[in-house]
Amino acid sequence: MNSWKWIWRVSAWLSAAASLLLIVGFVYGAGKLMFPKPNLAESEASSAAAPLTEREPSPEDGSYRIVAIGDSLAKGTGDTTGQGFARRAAAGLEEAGRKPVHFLNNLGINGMTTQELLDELKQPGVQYVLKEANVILLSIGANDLFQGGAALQTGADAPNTAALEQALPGTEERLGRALDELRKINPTAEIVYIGLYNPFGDIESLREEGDRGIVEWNAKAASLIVERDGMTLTPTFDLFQRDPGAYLSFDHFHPNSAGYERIARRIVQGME
Amino acid sequence: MKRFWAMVQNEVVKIVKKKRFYIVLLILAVLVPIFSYAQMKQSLERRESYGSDWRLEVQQAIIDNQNSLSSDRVPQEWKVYRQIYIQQMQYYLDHDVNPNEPGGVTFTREFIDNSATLFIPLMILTIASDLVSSERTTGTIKMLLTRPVRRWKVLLSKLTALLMFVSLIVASAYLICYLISGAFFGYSGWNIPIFTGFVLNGSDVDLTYVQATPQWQYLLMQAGLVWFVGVVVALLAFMVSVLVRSTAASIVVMMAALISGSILTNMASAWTSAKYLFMVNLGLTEYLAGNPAPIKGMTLGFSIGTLAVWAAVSVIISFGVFTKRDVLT
Repeated sequence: MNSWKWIWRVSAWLSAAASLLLIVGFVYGAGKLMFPKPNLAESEASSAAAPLTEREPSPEDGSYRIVAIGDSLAKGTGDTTGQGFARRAAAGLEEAGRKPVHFLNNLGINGMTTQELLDELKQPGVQYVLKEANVILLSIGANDLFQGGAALQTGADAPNTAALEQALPGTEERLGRALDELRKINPTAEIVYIGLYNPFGDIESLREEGDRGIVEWNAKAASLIVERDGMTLTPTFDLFQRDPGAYLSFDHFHPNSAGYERIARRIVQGME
Repeated sequence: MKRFWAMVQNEVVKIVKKKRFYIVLLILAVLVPIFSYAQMKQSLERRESYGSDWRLEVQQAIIDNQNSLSSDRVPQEWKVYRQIYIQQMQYYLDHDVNPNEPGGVTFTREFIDNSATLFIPLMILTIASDLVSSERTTGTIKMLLTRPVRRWKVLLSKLTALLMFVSLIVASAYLICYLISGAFFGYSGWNIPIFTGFVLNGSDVDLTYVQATPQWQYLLMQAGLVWFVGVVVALLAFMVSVLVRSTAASIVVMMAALISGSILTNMASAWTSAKYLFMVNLGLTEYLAGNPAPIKGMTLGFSIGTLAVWAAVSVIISFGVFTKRDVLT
């Protein structure tokens, strides 16, 4: 019978202590959540500089550290395996075996335009990732020039020469700024810009208009790239010229797995 | 008064003797290592794909969620969740704070967050659900009521014992979780900053109230909220246990209510008056984490109020029925 007395005493004291602590926690928590205080010091500090931007990048370790950034091509939309040219290029470099390969991040976002890229480059997290890399694969511009591949699926807004001509100068200017910005964020990384192919190659009626615009754009992009150090343009135009159907995915806009593989091989060749 | 505490003592000893509390401890001691192991496997796998740098991982999570926002196949409600998630992750990343810093304390926080609405209430049911009904199944209720003690005092002594065990269950859940997961992830992490005070306006997150809270303080607040939920569930189960003759039926009724609650919250229903049901309000810790409420118009104050009303009504019914009812057989 005595042992029951002890059980009672122990559980009574323990539960009293626990209850007290839990009630304090409840009152404190509920109070803090229901009557939040604005954090003035914090909001001022955060607008100045996020702590992440002050972080030093990791030291060079003699490996490829690859980041992809840009639009749906960078992301790999249309690739049934989801790898895209970025991961495929990383795999290709790994196979070549010259240096160890680390694929850091794929920052590609579907539908990204040059303006959105410029905004994205202001994000401390994105800057951090770019600083960590020494190879940056960039694909951007197609969404500016063609207002997204989505237009094609709805059939509402097929590309026309006038609209394309109108979009070109602005896009070119923003690409130039984006390249400068990238260089500022990471002064040493190898930047590989993926040239455009004609996504409308397998649609007879749009083919010619598309070709003309793409060629013009690629020439402009090439001259921007050439002006700057440590940047290369990987051409993809010819890859999709002869038999676009074989290398484009179901949406007639993005490459399929085979298409991405061919782009990736180009990238690897360009880096060797 | 002394006599009352002797009655409470009697009830506590009965609960201990029935070994229900040991079962609760045992379940925790079995489950926590399983989850810890799973979590460890997961973090090892993550480390393989992202190296040791959590920042890359968080940035990728942000990008992945941004991508899913542009998809038409994702329902609008999920998009709101993801937009909020993106902004919170962005905040952690900008401040160079790892939102998932591994450690025993972080594991405990996440484990309790996940078990607050279902698992811990279930543990409480193991004790609460048969408190009165078992006396009737075994017939001992007659002995209890033939004593020269007022009926409401008998019930109150049972209720007091129950509330004591609610505190013990919540506290021991934390203790066991910390002790066991610490063996996997280390016992540190009390002072890791956790951001609280994300105020949600639709899909936008207002960052003016955000504060870095040390994790131990976060745990204290979380425990308090979980305890409140536990008390409400205990009182409701207590009422059911008074009303229903069989222990099995009493457990099933409460379990059905709890499970339907977790289904309803997942439906994120357009049926807004569902917010007055107690079971969709059990996720108090969600408010602390800055997650959106399952139904529009729910706030912490609303949820606490709703739960309090349910609890009060169930106490009134329990005492009303228990003191009036004829005890036959």
